[in-house]
Amino acid sequence: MALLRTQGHSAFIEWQLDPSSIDDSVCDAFLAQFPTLNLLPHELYAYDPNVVRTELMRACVARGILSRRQLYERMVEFWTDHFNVTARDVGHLKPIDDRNVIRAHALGNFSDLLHASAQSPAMIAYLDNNTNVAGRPNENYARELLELHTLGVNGGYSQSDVSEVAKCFTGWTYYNRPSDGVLQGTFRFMEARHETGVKTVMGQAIASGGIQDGLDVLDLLASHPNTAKYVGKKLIRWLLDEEPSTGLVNAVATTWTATQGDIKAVVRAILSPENIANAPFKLKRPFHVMVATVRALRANVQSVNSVPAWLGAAGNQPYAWPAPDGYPDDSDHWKDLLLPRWNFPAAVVAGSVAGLSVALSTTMRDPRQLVSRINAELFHGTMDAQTSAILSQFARGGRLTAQRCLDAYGLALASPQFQWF
Amino acid sequence: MSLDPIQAYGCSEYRALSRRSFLKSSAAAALIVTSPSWLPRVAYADSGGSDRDIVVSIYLRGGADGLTLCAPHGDDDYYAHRPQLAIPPPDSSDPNRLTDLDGFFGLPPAMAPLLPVYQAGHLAFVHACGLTSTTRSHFDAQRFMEVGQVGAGASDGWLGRHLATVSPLDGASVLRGVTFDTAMALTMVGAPLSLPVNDPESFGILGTSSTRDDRAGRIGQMYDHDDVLNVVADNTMATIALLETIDFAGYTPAGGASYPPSQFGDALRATAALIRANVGVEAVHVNKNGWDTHASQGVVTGTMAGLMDDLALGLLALHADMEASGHLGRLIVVVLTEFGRVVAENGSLGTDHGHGGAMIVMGGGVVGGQVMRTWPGLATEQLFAQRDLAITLDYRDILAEIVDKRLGNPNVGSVFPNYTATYRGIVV
Repeated sequence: MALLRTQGHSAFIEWQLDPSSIDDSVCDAFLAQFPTLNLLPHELYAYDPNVVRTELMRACVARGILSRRQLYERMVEFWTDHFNVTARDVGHLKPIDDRNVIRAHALGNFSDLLHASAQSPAMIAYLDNNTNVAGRPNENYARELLELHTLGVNGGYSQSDVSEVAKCFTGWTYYNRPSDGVLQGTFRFMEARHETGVKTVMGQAIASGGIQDGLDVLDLLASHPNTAKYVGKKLIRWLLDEEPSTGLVNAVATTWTATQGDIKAVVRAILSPENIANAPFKLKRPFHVMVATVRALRANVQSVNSVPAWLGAAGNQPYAWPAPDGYPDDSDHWKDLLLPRWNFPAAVVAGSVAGLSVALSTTMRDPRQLVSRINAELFHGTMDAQTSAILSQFARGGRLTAQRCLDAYGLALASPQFQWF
Repeated sequence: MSLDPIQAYGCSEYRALSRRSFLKSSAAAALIVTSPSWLPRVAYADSGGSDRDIVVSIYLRGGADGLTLCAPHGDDDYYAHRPQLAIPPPDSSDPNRLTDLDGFFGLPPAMAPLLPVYQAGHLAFVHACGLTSTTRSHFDAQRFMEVGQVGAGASDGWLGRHLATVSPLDGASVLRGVTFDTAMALTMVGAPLSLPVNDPESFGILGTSSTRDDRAGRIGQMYDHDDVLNVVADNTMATIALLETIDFAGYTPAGGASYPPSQFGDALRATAALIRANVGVEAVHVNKNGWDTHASQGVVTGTMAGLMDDLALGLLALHADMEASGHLGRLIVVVLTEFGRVVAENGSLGTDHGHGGAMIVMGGGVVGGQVMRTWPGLATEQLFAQRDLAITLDYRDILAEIVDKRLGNPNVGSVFPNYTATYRGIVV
């Protein structure tokens, strides 16, 4: 905020677009308690898959709370949904996908991201491409590649294209046996399982043969104008506006095409000062509400281990969405379950979320002083009049004990104002 | 490890990214939900309440394979297309054979517990039915089917529109519809007095107990000022009070019914508790995920067998519970899925996205004991696009007849816009 005020909008965005330049040592130190985050694929198999999944989930929550690279983490969240792989379905493989696909390319180039995802054992296992073999194709990956990852469902492909793309990816699998040694859990192309012959995708002949068939399809899709439009629009929805204008969608697609899918350039175009000034409110997802609650309260974070269960009850546990389309980026989807949004802050201030504790000033005996302090600490002085008035009434509703002060903080975070970006 | 909060939060980048920090004027008005244009044209049905059914909508997400749920053993092409995945016919000696229903269709072992319900005339299958859109996208197909209109964007669901166009079963009800999940199913979106409930046993305000009522009241006041969330907040408060009066944990099913120990079983058990509590809930939606069986489908043991086992035991328990407690006559259950799967198995012992499929209808008013269909055949030239079971019956024919005859709502044209339903005689 200080940087935003002193250096202005552009400097702030540029700073956030260069995450490696942002010191994140506090977050990194916290993450050191999760050894599986940095293991090589074959090393992960020494752990129970539930431990692997749980550590990744906790790391996601910890990063949401502690990382200063917030725009980067928002982009990681976006691509995690875009290339969704339900963690429970893929055993030990999810952390490698998170690390080498999503986090490696979240602000990189879309084509690199797409290629990495296509060769990610987690994605291959999730969408059954390990069983996609010559003569007996399995369409699962091919369909979602076209529908969800690139062109979009109305992106101009046919059932025939799905079948042909499936053939192009026959033989794309991964080493999955202990006897594979250090290769276990890594990508493998099996020439013997690859369907030979020319395939036709979107009217183009795919004739290179071997692994190049799949690589050619990825290049074709990554550079397709419908991909720029479809994925670009999703990014606008995520960062700015759930119902973007056609003009903005076209402008962002133009940037996408001109920069050959440079994600930073696309984000920069979306987050212009004008666009942000004109953006409508957007409902936070439960994940955003809960990490923002901990940040706003400046809670002492000894552990985040109890937070995933809260997120689960709110329908937003990391890596748990059960279908390949990822958590909905849609305020309508999230608006009907308010109770966890009210209860989480109430539980944090009451000290009943294990691992999180607050050290707020609770010595105010004047309700006005309390409300003004909450306004400054949680809302940077922007608390709306209704919230302020109702909070005052609550503060006056009984003896202003330390507990009532804390509950007032929790109540403020349950307010509708806190639910919207 | 412990963190110094000041060190951890040296900067407030996250909040700096907040929209509100940049906004000068309120744009929330753009999000205000307006009344749908069809609403004024509707004549509210008043059927006098108690003779109307309570509807339980179950959605099998992922595209359940209709040729396994209710298998056509009388069609030789079923066996020709599925050398590994077809289940042996009822007259075979294989212990994992089908259980015959009508001489042509049979139940897989995992569904066989439902045979007595079928024989009692309380359960019917509808086959070669579904959504006539040619899409093979889960997400489009689910959306079109739940909205009730091919090609529709996400707006209101068919069950939501039903509840919006019929007078309440109980005029004093504060909760007419429930989706047992963490979000409303699109099927029910648009329904008045309806909410998602993840866990009915713990649906209440937490935090410091001495200030709970005070805080709840203040939250209610705060949400009066949010044009988007105010209705949900009101419904939530009323639902908290309602659900507190029902002992879900101590609920005893009637007739010795035993719900399976699963999320699905829990949801149906809670459904039964709501029905028997007679609190004016008239629609329940339950999602059951996991039917996208591209690989290792497991029709006798494995993935799909496990799903069917849970489905069948859940329906069986709900039937027994409702029958023994005298509620079966006002229960109607519909089981839908977005599409069936390709007739021929793939190389992964699974099946890819197809077209026609099967649905299940259960309840006291169902013309049960039948597999309703106009069977199109499974020879390659009889298939849709040479690969899928053709659709000879639009799923909306079944739902519209139920909405009209069992749910007391003659406004089927509003529930299923731009569609003229043909009633097939699925219910009395």
